[in-house]
Amino acid sequence: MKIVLAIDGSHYSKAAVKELTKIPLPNDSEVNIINIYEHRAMPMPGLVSTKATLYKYPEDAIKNAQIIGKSIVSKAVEVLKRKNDSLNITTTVVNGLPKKEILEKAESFDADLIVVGSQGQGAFSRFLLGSVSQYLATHAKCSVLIVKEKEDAQ
Amino acid sequence: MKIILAVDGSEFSKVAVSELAKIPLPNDSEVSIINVYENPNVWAPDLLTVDSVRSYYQEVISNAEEFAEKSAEKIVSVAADSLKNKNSTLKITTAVVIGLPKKEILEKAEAFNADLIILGSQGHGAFSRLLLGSVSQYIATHAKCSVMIARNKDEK
Repeated sequence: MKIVLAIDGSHYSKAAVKELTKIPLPNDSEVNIINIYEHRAMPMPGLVSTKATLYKYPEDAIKNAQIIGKSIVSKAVEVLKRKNDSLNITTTVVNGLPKKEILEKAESFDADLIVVGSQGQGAFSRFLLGSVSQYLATHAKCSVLIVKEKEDAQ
Repeated sequence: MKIILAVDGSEFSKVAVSELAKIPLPNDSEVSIINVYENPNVWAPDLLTVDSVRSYYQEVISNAEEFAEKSAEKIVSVAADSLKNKNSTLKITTAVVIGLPKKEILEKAEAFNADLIILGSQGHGAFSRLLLGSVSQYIATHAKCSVMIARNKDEK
């Protein structure tokens, strides 16, 4: 079974990781844990050309996003490995549009299942279903598991 | 793990059954298979004041209800059989309910204290151009537990 686990480090995505540990996956299962960070365009790109200290800002921002992304996925790897050591886990940290990157990963990975939280960092908590989760549920070619924590529902 | 499997006998819900069969479940898992059918309505209720028409309609309605219930029972038992074939240790119960599918599925999930609802990406009602049916979308949005929208990636 091939699974893409999409996480963004939010409380909701931690629930997704936890839920996945509850499913006793076959030993030959492959899990790809993916984190996507958005590289926001500079508010004033013209500043870049001044070669002031801001020059390094985009580079630093991307580097930091990579570091944060890697720590998010490696934490998830730990949690999954603790439950099932024989899982074949790979990780991906990419820059892009989350909904698009997740679907592309699922197709290139030939995933049977995408696991996501019901919402992520971006959503206001009054939303019941985040836009990325909704987009995935609508457009994925494979099954999508939208994880919600029962206890926290209220 | 407690799971609600919502089926309507459509091709999409058959995918939900086969996808669920693929997921290895903990041994103490309980699966409740639910089919919700909508009450067959009378088109022109005013006609019921005419005696002969009324008795005719009542017959039609009771036939339709009987038929709907029978097909619903069949849908859940076919689903139960194919799940049992794949995993004989599962505890499977079935339920057939009249009502509004999205509402009944959520109510059943709460009454059953389900951890997960599994359903197809669409059902009988949807036009095939839709990517996600209204019931699936409603359930994904409003369920208090996890929801799995089942699709077979190898099809199409």
